[in-house]
Amino acid sequence: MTTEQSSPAIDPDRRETLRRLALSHDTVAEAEPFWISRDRGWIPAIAVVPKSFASAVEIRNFLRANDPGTEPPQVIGLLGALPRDEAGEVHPDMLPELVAGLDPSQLSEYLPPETEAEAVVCELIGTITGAVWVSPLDDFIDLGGTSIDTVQLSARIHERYGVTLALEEIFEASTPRAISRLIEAARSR
Amino acid sequence: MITILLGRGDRRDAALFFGGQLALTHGQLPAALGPWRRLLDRLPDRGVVLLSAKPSAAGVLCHLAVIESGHVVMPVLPQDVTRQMRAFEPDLVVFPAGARQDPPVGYRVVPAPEPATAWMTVEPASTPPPNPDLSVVLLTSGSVGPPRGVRLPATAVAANAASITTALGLTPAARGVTSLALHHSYGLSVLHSHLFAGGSVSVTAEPPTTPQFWREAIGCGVTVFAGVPLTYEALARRLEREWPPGLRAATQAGGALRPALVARIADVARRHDATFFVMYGQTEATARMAVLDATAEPAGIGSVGRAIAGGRFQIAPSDHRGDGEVVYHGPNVMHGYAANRADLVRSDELHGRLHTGDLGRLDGDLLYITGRRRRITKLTGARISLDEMESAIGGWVVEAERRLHVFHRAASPVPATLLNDVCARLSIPLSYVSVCPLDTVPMTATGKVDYPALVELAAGNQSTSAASGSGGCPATPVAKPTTRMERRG
Repeated sequence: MTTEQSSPAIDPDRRETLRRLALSHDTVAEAEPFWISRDRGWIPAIAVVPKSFASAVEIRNFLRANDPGTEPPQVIGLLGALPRDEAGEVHPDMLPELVAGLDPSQLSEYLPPETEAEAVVCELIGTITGAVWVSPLDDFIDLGGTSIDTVQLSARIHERYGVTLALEEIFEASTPRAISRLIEAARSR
Repeated sequence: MITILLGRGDRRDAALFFGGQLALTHGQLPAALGPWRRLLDRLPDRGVVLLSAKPSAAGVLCHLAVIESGHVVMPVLPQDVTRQMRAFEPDLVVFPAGARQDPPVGYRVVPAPEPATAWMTVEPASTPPPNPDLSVVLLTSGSVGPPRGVRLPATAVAANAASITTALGLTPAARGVTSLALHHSYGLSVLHSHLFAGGSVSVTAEPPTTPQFWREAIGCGVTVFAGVPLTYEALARRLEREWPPGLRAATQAGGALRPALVARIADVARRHDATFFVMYGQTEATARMAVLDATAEPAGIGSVGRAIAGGRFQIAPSDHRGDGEVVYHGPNVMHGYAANRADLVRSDELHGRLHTGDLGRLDGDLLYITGRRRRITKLTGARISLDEMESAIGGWVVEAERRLHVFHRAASPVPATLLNDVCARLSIPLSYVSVCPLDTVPMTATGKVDYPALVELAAGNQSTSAASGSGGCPATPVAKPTTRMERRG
C-alpha cells in the first residue's frame, strides 16, 4: 500500500488514552493505535500483543464500550510483538502491512452488514450475547456466545424466518455472514 | 466416615482452586470440611441433604462433607429444589450461594458456613433412614413428570473415581475444572476422580465457551478438560486456533459427538502432545462405562471405546428390529431408581447389571452404539426422553428431520399451555416442535403404536410448528394400520 505514507498522524493524547484503555483489558500486554487504509477511507485501528486466550473481537468490543472518544478502533490486529527499532522505539508506520498479513483469526474488523439477513442475524446475536458491536465476520463464540445462546439463536431465527438451523450448523457457520447464507439457502429451497 | 475422596493426595499437594486461586491442599481439606460436618452432625443418623448445586466453593465443600460423613447427598439444579423437596423430604436443604426465599412449612433456617443458607426439617422424616449403602442420588436429566432419582451407593461412587483415574491416567499432577454442573453425573465424576487420584480441581461457574473460563483455567494450570458434545461443537475452532497451554487431556461424554469432529479434536490434541478421550456413560452407571483414546486409536473413532476397568459389556438379544441391547456389568452400576423418600430405603435391585436402553454391537472389545431402545434425543443438547415427554403431554412424540413431532388424536388436541409448559421445563425451543393431529393412529401387528410409521409420517409431514402459535395442522392422511401390518409381515 502506497497510501501508508499519507497516513494521518495520531494525536499524542488520543494515542495515550487508547493505549491505556487497551492495557486495562486483562488479555492485553502491549498496544499501539494506528490508521489503516480501506476503500471507505482511513480507519482507526490498533495493534495488540495479547496474553493467552485473547480474542480480537472481545478486545475490539471492550474498546468500543469504554472509549471516551467518538472513533473507537474498528480494526484490531493481534501481533506476536510490536515493530521496534534498535532503540526500542515502536514504528506505527509498519503496522498496516503487518496487520494486513495476519491470519483472519488474529484480526477483527467492524464492518457494516451487507444484506438484510446479515443485519438481522447481527442484531439477534447482539441481543442474545449482549455484545455492543456485531460485525458480519465475527465468530459467534468470540462474541461471548454459549451453547445455550445458540439454542436461543436457532429459536429466534425460526421465529423470524420459519427456518430451523441445527445447532451444529450454527457452530460450524459461526459468523453472521455464514449463518445468514444458511438462512437464505433454506428459504430458497 | 467412609472416606472415598479425602486423604488421597499428599498433604502439600493442591486439592481445590476457587476463583483461579489455590484454596486448599489435600492436607487442609479435612479441616475445611469441619464447619460443614458440624452442621451435618445435627442430622439424624443418616440424613438426606438436598444441595442446590451450581459449581461453587461452598457447594463443593458441602458435597464432600456429606459424602464423607456417610449421609446421602442429592445435588439438583436450583430450579428443581422445590419439586424435589416435596418428593424426597430431605432432612437438610443447602443453598451454597444463599437462599432468597424463606423456608417452607416444616423447615427452619439453621446456621450454615458463609455464604450458604441451610434449612433443616422441624420434625425428622417419618420414613426409615436411607439404605446404609446409599451415598448419592442424582436426577436423570431432562425428565418430566414424576422425579426419577438414581440411587448410587458409596461403592459405585468409589468405583467410578478409581476407574476414571485409571482410564485417563490421572496422577497427583492432574488438575481438572468444573466445566460441568455438579448435579450432572459427568460433572461429579470429574470432581471425584481428580481428588481420588490425589490431583486437584479448579471450581468455577463460568461457562466453558467463554474466554474468561479459559484464562482462569490456564492461569491456575488446569490439565484436564471435560465437555459434552455441544461444548466441543462450540469450541472446536477455538481449540484449533489456540490450544490452551498446559492442557494435557480433553474428555467428552454426555451423548455422541459427530465422528468428524472427534477426529478434528483428536488431531489438534495430538499436535499438542495431548490426549482426547471419548467416553460413554449414563447416570445409572455413575457416569462412565467406556473410554476411547481417540488420539492414540483413530481407527476406533465412531465407537465409544472399551469398557472401563472392572466393567464389561454384553449385547443382549432385543425385540427391536434385531439389534441387541447393550448390557453393562460393573461395580459402578446404581442400585435402582427412586421416585420419593420411601424409595431411598430400598436395597440393590440391579446387582451390578445395567440394561442401558442403548442398542449396539461389539467389534472385538470396541463398543459401537447403533441406536436407542428407550427413545431419548439430544436434539438441543439436553437429554430429552421422548417417552416422558409423551406421558406429560399425552399423544405420541417422535424425532424426525431434526425436529420433535407431537402426534395426537384429532379428537383430543394438546392444549397449547401444556405444550408450552412441558417445552419450557425441558428447555426445548418451540421452534423444534411440530404438532399434528391423527385421524387414525398407526399400530403394529402386536397392537402397539407403530413409531417407525410415525417417524415416516413426520418426515413427510407439513405439520404445524408449535412456535407459530397455531393449534394444529390439517388432518393428515395416515397409512391404514392394516397396510403397515402387512408390510412388516
